[in-house]
Amino acid sequence: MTCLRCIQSCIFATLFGLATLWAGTVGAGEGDVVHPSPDPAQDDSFSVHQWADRIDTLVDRAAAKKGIEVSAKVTDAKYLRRISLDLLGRIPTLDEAATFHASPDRQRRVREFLDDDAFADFWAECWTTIAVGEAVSRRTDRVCLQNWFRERIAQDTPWNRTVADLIAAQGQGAFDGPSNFVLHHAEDPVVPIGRVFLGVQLDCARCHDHPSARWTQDHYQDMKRFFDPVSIRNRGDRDYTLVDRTIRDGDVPCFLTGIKPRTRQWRRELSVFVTASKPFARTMAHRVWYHFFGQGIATNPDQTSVAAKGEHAELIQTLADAFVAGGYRLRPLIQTICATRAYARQVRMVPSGAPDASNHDPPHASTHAHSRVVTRRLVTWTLQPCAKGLTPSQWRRSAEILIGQAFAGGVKPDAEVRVDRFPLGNLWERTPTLEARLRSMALPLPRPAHSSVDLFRLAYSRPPTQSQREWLESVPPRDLLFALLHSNEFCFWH
Amino acid sequence: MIWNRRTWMGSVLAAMAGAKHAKPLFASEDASPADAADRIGVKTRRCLLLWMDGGPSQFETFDPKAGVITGGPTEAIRTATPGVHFAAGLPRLAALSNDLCVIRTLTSKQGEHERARYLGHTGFERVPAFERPEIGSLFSHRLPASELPGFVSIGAPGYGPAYLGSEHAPLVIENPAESAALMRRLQKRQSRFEVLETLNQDFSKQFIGDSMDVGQTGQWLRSQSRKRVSDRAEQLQRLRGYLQSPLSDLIADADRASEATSNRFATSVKMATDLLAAGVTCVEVSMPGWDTHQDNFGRTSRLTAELDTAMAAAIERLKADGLWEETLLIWAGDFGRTPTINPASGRDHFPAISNMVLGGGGIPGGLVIGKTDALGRVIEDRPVTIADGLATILGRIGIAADETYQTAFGSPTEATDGGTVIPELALLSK
Repeated sequence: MTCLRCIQSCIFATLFGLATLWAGTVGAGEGDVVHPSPDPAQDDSFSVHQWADRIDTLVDRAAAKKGIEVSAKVTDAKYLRRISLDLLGRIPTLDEAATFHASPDRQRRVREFLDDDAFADFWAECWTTIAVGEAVSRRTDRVCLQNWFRERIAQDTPWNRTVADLIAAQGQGAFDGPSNFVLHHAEDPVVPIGRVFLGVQLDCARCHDHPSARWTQDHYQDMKRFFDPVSIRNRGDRDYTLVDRTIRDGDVPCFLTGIKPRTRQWRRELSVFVTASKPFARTMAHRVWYHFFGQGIATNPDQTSVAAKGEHAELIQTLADAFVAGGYRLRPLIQTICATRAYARQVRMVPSGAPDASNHDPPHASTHAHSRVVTRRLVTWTLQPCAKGLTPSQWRRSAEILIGQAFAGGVKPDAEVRVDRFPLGNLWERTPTLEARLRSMALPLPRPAHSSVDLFRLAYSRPPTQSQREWLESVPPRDLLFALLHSNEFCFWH
Repeated sequence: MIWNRRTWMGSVLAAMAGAKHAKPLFASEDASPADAADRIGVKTRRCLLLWMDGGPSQFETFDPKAGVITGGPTEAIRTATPGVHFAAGLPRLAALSNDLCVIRTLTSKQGEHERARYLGHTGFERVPAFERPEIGSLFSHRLPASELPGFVSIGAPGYGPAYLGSEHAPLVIENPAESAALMRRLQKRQSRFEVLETLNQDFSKQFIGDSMDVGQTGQWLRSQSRKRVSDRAEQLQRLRGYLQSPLSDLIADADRASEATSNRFATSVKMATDLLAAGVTCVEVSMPGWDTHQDNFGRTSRLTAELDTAMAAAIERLKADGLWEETLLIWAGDFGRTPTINPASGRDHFPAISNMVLGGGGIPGGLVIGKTDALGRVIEDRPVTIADGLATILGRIGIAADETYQTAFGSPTEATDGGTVIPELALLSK
C-alpha cells in the first residue's frame, strides 16, 4: 500500500512541481511554534466581517488575475438550504424557511444554527469520520468518541485543545472518548496525525526516503518514538485501555520541526508540538473551508502542506490567521466562511481546460478514469463552491424532515413510512440484491398530507417555477414524494 | 477500453484486412458485447461462471482416484475423451468431455472460505483498502452490455467492480420469485420514474452553460458526488431500464420454472443461459453446499447429480442456440478437499490442489492440464496458480495479465497478480 500511496504523492509532487514541500519550516526550531495564550477567552475583538472581507479580497484578486468572471449570488432560499445542510446536516424545515423568508438576516441565521443541538450532532459525526474514518473496528468506540466531540463542539472548546486531547489521551475506549483516536490508529498513529492535523503525507516515509518528499524515513521513525510508551490492554470484547508506560531509556523522539520533548511525557509533548505548529492552524482552517465549499483550495485538506506553498498560499494563511484570531474556535471561523461572498456564489460548471477550471480534478472525477479516451470534463473553479452530493447521513437527516412533514398528522398509524425502508443504493460495496433495490423502489407510500406544491417547496426549499407549478398539478403527491427523495435537486448541495 | 500492444495489433490487422467491423481506434461506445468483442478481435462474448460454494471435492468430480485409499467409495467413469476419467456422479458431463478443458492442478495457499472465494474471483488476496474487480465485472467492463446489466450474479452477493465503476457491479438476484413479484408491482408504478426524470431534467437545465447538454450535466453532477448519495438517481434509472428490458420476463420465467422442479441450481443455470442469450455479458451462478466436512460421499452424490444435469443442459442449450463458441464456461470453487477422509466421512479444506473446468468460447476441448499423483496428494506435473488461472480466463477476452488499469484513487494496477496464461489456452499463439 505504501508504494501505491507513494505513486500518488509522486504524481502530486510532479503536478505541482514541488521539489521541496513545506519548505518554510525546514530546520526551524522552537521559534516556529506559535504559542497560543493558555486560555484564549472569547475574543470580542474578532470581527467576522473584517475577516470575511480579507478572504473575499484574496478570492476576487485571484479571479481577476485569471480573468474569471465570478458567479452570481445565490438567493436567500438557496443560502438557507446551504447553511442548513452544512451546519445541521439536513434541509431546512418549512418553518425555518418561512421565518427566514420574513427576515433574511443571513448572519443571524448562521448564529442561530450554530446554537442548535443539531449542529453539534452533525459536526461531531463529521469530525468522528475525519478522525477514525467510516469503518468500524472492534477496538474503537465510535459512539463514545462522537459524544465527546459533540460536547466539545457544543461548548466551542478551542480546537487546539480538542486535538491535543486526542493525541495525548489515555483511558478506556468505551468511556474516554478521545482515547479512541490512538486506539483506532494504534499500528501507526504517525501517518494519520500528519495527514489529518498537519496536512502532511508521511506514508512514503514509513518504508523509504521518497525522492521528492521532504520527510525521510528517519523523520518518520523519530515521530514514531513518541508512541513508544503506548500500551494497550485488552480485557475482553470492546474493553480496550490505552495507557502510557514509563520509558526509562532509549532514543528521545523528535517532532518534524526538530523539537525534542523536555519531559518523559512524550505524547503530551507531541500534542503541544502538533497543535501549536503553523501547519496545524492551516490544515484545520482548510478542513473547515473544504466542508463548506466541497473542495479544497488547490488540494484536499490532507495535502494542505502542498497547497500552502501554491498560488493560493496567502488565502490559506489568512484562513489560518482567522482561525487563530478566533482563539482556535470553530464558530468564529464558520461564521467568517459563511459570511464570505465566495460561499454565497452560485455553483457553475465550466469545461476542463477553460482558464477558470479547477487545477485539481478529484481523482474520482470520472468513473471512466481508466479510459484513455479524453473526454471534456466539467469542473468548478477552485475558489467557488462546487455541487456536492449529500453524504448518506445528510440524505437520511433530510429525508426524515421531508417524510416527517409530508405525513404530519395526516396518516393512519399503520401506514408508517420510515426512512430506513429506502435503503441507500450507492453503497455497491455491500452489493444489495435486486430484491432489496426493487423493494425500495416498489415501496407503497400512503397519501401525503400535503399538496404536491408544498412537498416540492419543502424538499427543494424553494417554490416551483410557473411551468413547474402547472406540471405539479397533474402529479400525484405519492409519486412526487418518491421522485423528490431520489432526485438530484434533493440529493445535492448546490 | 485499454490499449496494449495486442489490442493495437489486433485493430491494425483488422483494419488492414478491411474487416467490416473494424471501428475507429478510439471508439468509446460499443452497441453490444458482440461489437466490443469484434473490435478487440476476440471470439468470446459472454461468460457463464458456475461457482461451487464451499469448495468442491476434486475426488468426487473431475479427478477421481478410484480403488485407492484416498479415493473413497467414489467410482471413476470413462469420458468421451480417451484416457480421461470423471467421477461416476457426472455421466452427462463425461459424455461432453470433448467440449471441456479440465485443469486438475490449480493450487493456492488460501484455505479460508471467504478469502479463497475473493482470491478465486479477483485473482488477488484481499486487501481491504485496495478492492479488486471480480471476473464478472472485468467481463462487463471489457464487453459492455447496452441495455441489460453487464453482470448478473444469481445466489451470491458478489464482490463488486472496485475501480471499474458501479455500472459493472453485479446485479444480484437472490430470489427470482420475489424479484418477479416486485417487478410486477413496479410495472404499475412506472409513473414515479417519469416524475423523477422530469425533475432531474429541470435541475440539469439550471446548470447548462453555452456548450452543454442535459446528459453532460448529469455526468458532471455525478462526478461531483464521489461516493455520496446522488449515485442512487443514476442507479434507479438503470434499474428502471432493466424493468422495460427482457430481464423482467426472464425473471418471471425462472419463477414459474422453479415451481416445476426441485433442482434450484438447474433453474438458476437455465435463467443464466436465458440472460446470456438476451445480451448479458457475464452471469455467475453460485451453488451452495460443497463444504463437505461430514458425509462427503452422500452429499457430493446429491450435489453432483444436480450439477451434472444443470451444467450439461447449459452446454447443450448454448450449443443449440449457437452461442457455445462465443461463451466461456467456467466451473470453479473455493478450493479442493483433502485426500485424507476424516472420521466423519468428510473431506476438509485443501487449497493445495483443486480443479477448474473451462469450456466454450473457443477453448480446446478434451484437454486435461496437470497431473496429480496416484493418491491425489501432490501435484506431479504443472501446478497452475490462481493468478495463472485468472490470466488465462482474462486472456480469452484479450486482457493481458500485465494490462494496466487506473484505480479511482490514482494508482495504476495490473489486471492480475502476476500469472501467466496456460499456453494451450492462449488466445494468440506465440
